[in-house]
Amino acid sequence: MVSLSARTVEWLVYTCLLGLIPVVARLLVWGIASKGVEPLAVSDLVAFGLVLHSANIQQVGRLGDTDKRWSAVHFGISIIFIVIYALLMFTTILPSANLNQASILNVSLFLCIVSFILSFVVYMRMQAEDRGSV
Amino acid sequence: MNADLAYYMERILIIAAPLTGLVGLAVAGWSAIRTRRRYYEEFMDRRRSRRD
Repeated sequence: MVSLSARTVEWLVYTCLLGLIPVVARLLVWGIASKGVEPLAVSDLVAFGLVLHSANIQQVGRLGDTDKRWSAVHFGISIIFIVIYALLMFTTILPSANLNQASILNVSLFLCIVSFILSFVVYMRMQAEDRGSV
Repeated sequence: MNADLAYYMERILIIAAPLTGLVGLAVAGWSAIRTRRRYYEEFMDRRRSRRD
């Protein structure tokens, strides 16, 4: 069984729950409202992804010179994800209705799940660094 | 203009975003294996040195 350190619990509460506030708020409003509110929106998922990757960048920066290759790969992938999230955000700002909203929503959801896994892996590494062993 | 921009952005996103997601999954797997291997080796080294 995976035992979670204080750092990982803090990540779950302060980063994930904080990032999920727009998603949870929308779900609550969707539950209360009779119509006119969608249960999921691209902008909420983008906010969640941006929160996760900004936390990742901060954590990867903390590692310093311990494992430069690992840090560089994670830093790079976080930047790429942030760029893709920015493009997704543009689609919500553009006033055109010709976009395939369902596809964009599915893609955002997939990216959010991958971001969560990546962030979890980063925090597991930090947990291992704190312990100094498996 | 806006319609063109939206169309190209949608095309780019529908191709690039899933690819980025797959790359992200690959990086997550690589990273998890690397972390495991690195700390397992350190753990074994410490155990060996304690025995000696």
